[in-house]
Amino acid sequence: MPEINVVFQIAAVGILVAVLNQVLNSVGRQEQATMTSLAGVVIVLFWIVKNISELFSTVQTLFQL
Amino acid sequence: MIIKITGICLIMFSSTLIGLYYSNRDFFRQNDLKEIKKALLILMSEIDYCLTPLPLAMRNISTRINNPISKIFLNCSDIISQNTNKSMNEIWKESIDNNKKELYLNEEDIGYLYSFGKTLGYLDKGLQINNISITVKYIEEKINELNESITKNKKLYQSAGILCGLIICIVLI
Repeated sequence: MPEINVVFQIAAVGILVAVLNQVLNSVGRQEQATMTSLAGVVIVLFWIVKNISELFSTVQTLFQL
Repeated sequence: MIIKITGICLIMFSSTLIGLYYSNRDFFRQNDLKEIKKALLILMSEIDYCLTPLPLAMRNISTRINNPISKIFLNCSDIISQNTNKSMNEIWKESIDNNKKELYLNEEDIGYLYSFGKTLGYLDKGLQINNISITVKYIEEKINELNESITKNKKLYQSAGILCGLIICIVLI
């Protein structure tokens, strides 16, 4: 199943962004820490936006809306 | 597959190196400033006690301090001994510009060095010594500031370099 790769990628990005966030916070650069976590969220959203739309259309067809 | 692995290795290698460069930049700048301070103190004693002429004093300094900074003084003394009709200020500027690339100093430091050259070899001993001590004070201030930022930023840049490399790799896979 090729789709499972996305999950691992998201997990890896999550871990790395969390560590980077901690490092930036510990030296008192809160703004940059926020920006990195935001960037991580945006990257992950780019990956899964297709799957989310698929999910919505599946739900629509399932309940015949 | 092999191409992917080599790509990952290259990205990791370069991002780690960029991180190391940024973490050490402040350290190198501090070293340069310390070396310049040493040179200025030697120059001060040469002017104050030995009354050495400037070209000779510069040559003496260049033998007593370490490389990138000593080149400025050596270059300066060489240009003076060529007897071009330039003012001391122009010669000082020229010798700094010639060696600028090897220094880690930023624009502000270079500006201070330029303005230090303005009174070099001008009017009497007291004025020059005052000017040197003002420059030395500025350098000491900067060294103290850098001490704080080095301890703060060193680990940050190193880990940020490695982590950014990892993130780029994962995004590109």
